[in-house]
Amino acid sequence: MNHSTWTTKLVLLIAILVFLFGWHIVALLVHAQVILPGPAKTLMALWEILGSSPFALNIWATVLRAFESFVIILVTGTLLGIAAGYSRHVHQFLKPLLAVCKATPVMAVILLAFIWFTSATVPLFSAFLMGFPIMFIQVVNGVRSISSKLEEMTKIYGLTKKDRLLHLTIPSLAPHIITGAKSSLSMVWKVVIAAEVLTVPRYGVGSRMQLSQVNLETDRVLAWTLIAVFLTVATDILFEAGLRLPKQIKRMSHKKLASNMTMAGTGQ
Amino acid sequence: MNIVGLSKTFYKDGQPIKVLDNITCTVPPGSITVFMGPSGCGKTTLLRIIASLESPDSGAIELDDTEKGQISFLFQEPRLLPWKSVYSNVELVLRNMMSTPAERHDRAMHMLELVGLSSFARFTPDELSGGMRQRVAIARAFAYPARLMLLDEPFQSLDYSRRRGLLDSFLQLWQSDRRTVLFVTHETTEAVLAADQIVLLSDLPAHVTAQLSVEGKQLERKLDDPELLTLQASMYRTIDRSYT
Repeated sequence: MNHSTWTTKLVLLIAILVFLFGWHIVALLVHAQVILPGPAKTLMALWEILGSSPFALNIWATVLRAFESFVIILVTGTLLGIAAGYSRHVHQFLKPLLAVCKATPVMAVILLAFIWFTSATVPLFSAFLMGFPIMFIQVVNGVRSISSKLEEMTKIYGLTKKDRLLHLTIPSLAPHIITGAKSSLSMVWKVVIAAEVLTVPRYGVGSRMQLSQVNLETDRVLAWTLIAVFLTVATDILFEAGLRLPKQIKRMSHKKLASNMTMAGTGQ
Repeated sequence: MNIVGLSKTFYKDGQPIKVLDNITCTVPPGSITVFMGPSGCGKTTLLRIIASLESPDSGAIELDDTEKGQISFLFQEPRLLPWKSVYSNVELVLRNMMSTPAERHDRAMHMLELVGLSSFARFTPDELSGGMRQRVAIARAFAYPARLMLLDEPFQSLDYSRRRGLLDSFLQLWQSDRRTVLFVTHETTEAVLAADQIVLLSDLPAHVTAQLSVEGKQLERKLDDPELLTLQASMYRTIDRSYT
């Protein structure tokens, strides 16, 4: 590990310690567990939650809702984004929906959805309405940024429509789809948990937050918040690792090729 | 190929800009014809019309039977797919032509070998130098089984020695597989080294100011050859005359 990596990690550690220390001091000054429990109390609550029996079920319910919303956003945003990128009419047709999605406050969407749907469906619907525009706009921009020079080249060299889609369109869109997916994923977590807080389905991180708040268990509210942060960060890390995987595989295959070439060169 | 009375006007902000004005010339099959003219005189437009990427306002392209069908195009930039390997960039243009992967593999690797890049087959374009990328584009153009090949100043962004190297690579490939080549450049040295015939174009609107033939095998030509020096001098005189 080089010097700069050490320094970065040290700065990060110091920032966390300063934050925890600040939290502890403010909690001591406030001196009311209902308003602001200290970090130690919150960690104890977190420990209790981790050991409680429906913990996995609560996490699983939220993860499933977030995953389902994310997949729906990914598929619809990509397909409609491609269609709108190529057709002005489709783009015009979807503009009012996008304007509404972008301008409507998330809480209004959740409240309306709660009138129309069951508590388990509300997080899905709300996350879709909030995440879809992000994905859609990224894909539309992606389609518009496909190199016209490369398109011309594929036409000159007689590539079929299928080959053009597979080898030009999809790879050109990939960075935009990845950016859109990443942004909508973090949005999905926030909206799903917010919707759970308002609609209180039987299981879910948001439901537990809401119940803890009603019971004035602020330490548990904070503990569930930490769990929500952890879920968002963990999926972000997994996402990044997934993106790095093809590059790592390529680097390994290059190394293998280089070593084969060296062996061939030295006659081994 | 006969280029007969080709004219083209573009419109910018409603104002007409006549680019080509009655271009007429004959291109013998299996030869290299170089189109030379000042920058922005419409040489690229001429190639784009021949490749059916633009349509002319008037005139026609009459192709020899052997030249009909596919066209290979060497652009000013290599135009390689950045996410594909060197090998895949060449192999991809063969998919519609050759059904078996083994055939495509042999042809692509053969072409890469001819341009000296077979050991870079698994690299991606961003791992190669500019000259190497253009060599991949040359391999792709020759791998594609087209009898007509269009070159639009493909070596312009490179320094002299790399340009010469690439031109030699191109000419070696062409000697073994003589296709009809239309080569656009504004470099007189490239023109006299590569051409069987040089067509000089004027500034906008471009029209043919002279048609010169060059004797001798391309790969045996030397730039200090008195005949080539005389030819270059004559080209410069014609270009100067077209400006005055």
